[in-house]
Amino acid sequence: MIGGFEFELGGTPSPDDVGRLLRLLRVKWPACILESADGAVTATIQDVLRNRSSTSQFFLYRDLAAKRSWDEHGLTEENGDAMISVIIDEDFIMMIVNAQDSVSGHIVKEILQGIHTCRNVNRLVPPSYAPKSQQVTI
Amino acid sequence: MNHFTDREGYNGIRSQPTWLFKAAQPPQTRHPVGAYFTTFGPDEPNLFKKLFIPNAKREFIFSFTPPVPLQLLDEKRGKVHQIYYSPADYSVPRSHQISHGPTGLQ
Repeated sequence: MIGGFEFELGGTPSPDDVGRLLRLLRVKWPACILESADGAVTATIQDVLRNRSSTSQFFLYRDLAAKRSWDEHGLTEENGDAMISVIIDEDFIMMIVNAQDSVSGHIVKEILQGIHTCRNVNRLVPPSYAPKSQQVTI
Repeated sequence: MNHFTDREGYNGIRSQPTWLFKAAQPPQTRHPVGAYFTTFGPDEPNLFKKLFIPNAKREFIFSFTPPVPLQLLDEKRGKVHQIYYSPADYSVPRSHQISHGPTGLQ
């Protein structure tokens, strides 16, 4: 069986996109925890942004309690809306939530719309005025 | 190819000499009706977070070589998360069965 609803933004992702994604989510989930897909790295979203880290697949939890719940139970009725799975691939950004019409679904829609808008704005700015890319790696 | 399930599913599938994986509608209707499988094994880190399903569904595993080719879910999530499906009930005769049993994961 498979669960989750995929929201997708096409186009080649840049390190700036990842930074924007995390900054936009931090507004909604200030206690957000990031875990790399292999489980090797767990960090607060502030640490990830401060250390300019990036990874191609990761999970974003609303807070530490949400991560602990997912670790222990996997998906439940209570924690389904407290985790977002992210895939950064060559030509798309995908954010997977438990359900399309959910709080996390609306958050993800806002984030991807925000990234899309920033990309469009950046296209209008001459390269010499564009800010330096923010490299984000774990 | 692997299929993970809970105890009820495990007992139902293994009760017949030919394993029958029944097609069903996933929770999100944008995913096609089907019997779902993955090439990931039980040691794949965070597999059930990637699949957005409860941990109870990872208790038991069936492993087999596909007697009929399965479809990749799509070129994006399906490719990254190695998700395959059959749009109809999927039978695996004894000749293609490799193993089945508890995964050791709770």
